[in-house]
Amino acid sequence: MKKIILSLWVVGSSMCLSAQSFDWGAKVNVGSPNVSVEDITNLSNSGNGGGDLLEINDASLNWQLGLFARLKLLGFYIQPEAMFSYTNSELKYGNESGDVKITKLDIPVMIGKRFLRVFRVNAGPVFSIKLNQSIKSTANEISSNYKNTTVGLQYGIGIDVSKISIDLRVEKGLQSISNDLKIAGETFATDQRLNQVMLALGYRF
Amino acid sequence: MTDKRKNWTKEEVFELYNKPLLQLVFEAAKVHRENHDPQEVQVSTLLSIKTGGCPEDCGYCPQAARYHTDIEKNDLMSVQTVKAQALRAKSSGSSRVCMGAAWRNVKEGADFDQVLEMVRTVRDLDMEVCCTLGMLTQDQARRLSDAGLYAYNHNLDTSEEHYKKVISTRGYEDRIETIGNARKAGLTVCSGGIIGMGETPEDRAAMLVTLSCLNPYPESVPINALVAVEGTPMEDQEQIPIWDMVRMVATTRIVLPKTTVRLSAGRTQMSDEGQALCFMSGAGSIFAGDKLLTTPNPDINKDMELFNILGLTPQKAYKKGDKPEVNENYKNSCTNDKNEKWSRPAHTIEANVKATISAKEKRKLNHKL
Repeated sequence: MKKIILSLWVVGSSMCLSAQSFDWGAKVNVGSPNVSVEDITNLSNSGNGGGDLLEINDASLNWQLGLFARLKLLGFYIQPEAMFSYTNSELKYGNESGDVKITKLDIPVMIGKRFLRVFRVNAGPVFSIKLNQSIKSTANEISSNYKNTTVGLQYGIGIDVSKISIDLRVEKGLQSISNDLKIAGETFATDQRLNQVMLALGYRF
Repeated sequence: MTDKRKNWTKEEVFELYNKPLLQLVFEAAKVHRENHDPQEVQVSTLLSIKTGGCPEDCGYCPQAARYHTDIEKNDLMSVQTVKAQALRAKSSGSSRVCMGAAWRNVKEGADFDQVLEMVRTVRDLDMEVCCTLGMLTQDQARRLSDAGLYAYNHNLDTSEEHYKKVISTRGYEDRIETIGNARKAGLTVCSGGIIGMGETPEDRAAMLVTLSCLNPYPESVPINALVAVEGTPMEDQEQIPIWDMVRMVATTRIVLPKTTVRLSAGRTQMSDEGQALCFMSGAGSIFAGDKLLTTPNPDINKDMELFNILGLTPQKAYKKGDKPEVNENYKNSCTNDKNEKWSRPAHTIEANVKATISAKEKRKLNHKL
């Protein structure tokens, strides 16, 4: 963990040397996550009304907290971020259910363009590193091996007023965050993707 | 079993089933006495080692994840719990433990390894061990057999024709294949059905014909009376009259003379006199314990009282077959074939669809509350 932050810092600092200007700050995101789940084995789909037995209910909001750097380069800016993120969702399979909690470090690397002094558009990949996962189920065991690293895409718009920046961003999962799901002794091959809309508030030091 | 076989036709079995009741009971009792000790009845204990969360859509079953029922769900039991329960069952007269897991089919992995240890542990207590774990491959059957399993249960449930109106998530032919896999591994076979699921007497006869076509004959045939559970597609099925049960037991006894006919679910609804007629007609086993998987079952003391009245004694373990030897090879899987090959007919059964939809609505409502 420390290594990751340190290496980000080193990357950021080294880029800073060649950059025209360098800012850094802290930010907080509020996201409305939506994990989609698809049962690839079609185990729950029998043609008998059981087609969508497998479902995920996401918590209405999740929080992210972290640091960002912004460096201006050739009329564009690059903004790497390191955000601690916590998601909580409920996995359901008919009568069975379990609480899934995942903590991860999200590293978006956004490339953006400013215009009219305050407005920004940006887009870039987001690398997610899983730090911890726990699934608590009521009766029958529910387990899923969430991948240690996944890649997604983020894009959005933002405004900067003085030292404060506000962003509206969309995240699309480019990879399934887990390929398997075991519920009550049944193993499903799944495609679970995280999509979310986030509102971010940042402060540049 | 190497006795001479009779090729029963559906018509013959149907005719037998419809004989004047007391005549049928008499004939069955005669066959029973020629082939079994009529004073002995085996007391078996059915343990639900994993309850609920089943992906199948069996219309009678409260353990299907898709229906909303009040059963208590449980993850796979520990070997220690199974051992403790088996010892308790043994001390109250049981000589056979049947372990049931609500799985569609057996999958290689830690759970199956744990079941194999349970088998070995209970076998070491000098009890007959039976398992009912869903569909089974030949190598899985071999591993169970090596671990000391005596019998594998896989019910036909009903006739092939009526089966299509009860279950859409698996095929009848897969059941026959699983029974064959158990047989090839040297396990004894336990396979029967449930009556009272809306089938006709012809369906009951047809199921018995299918069982009588198995070669060798199944060593055990459990006969269950449907216990209609709220939330399942069959919640409104009327309870069958005891006479149907007596007829079914007696007909099974005549069609499969050497087989142990097991009086299974639905005994709570049967009178002592009704059960006595079943014993008279050839029932050679009952299931003991507070619960039969998830449905209620008579108290063991009440059963023992009935045994006293009728002069019956609990049968000892391995009376009808040798205790299996353990082969340490049970720990190793000998196949790379991990692909599921079982069928999924997926036709529409209206009652099952209705119960699934109503379960979803109930869950949504509970979620809001």
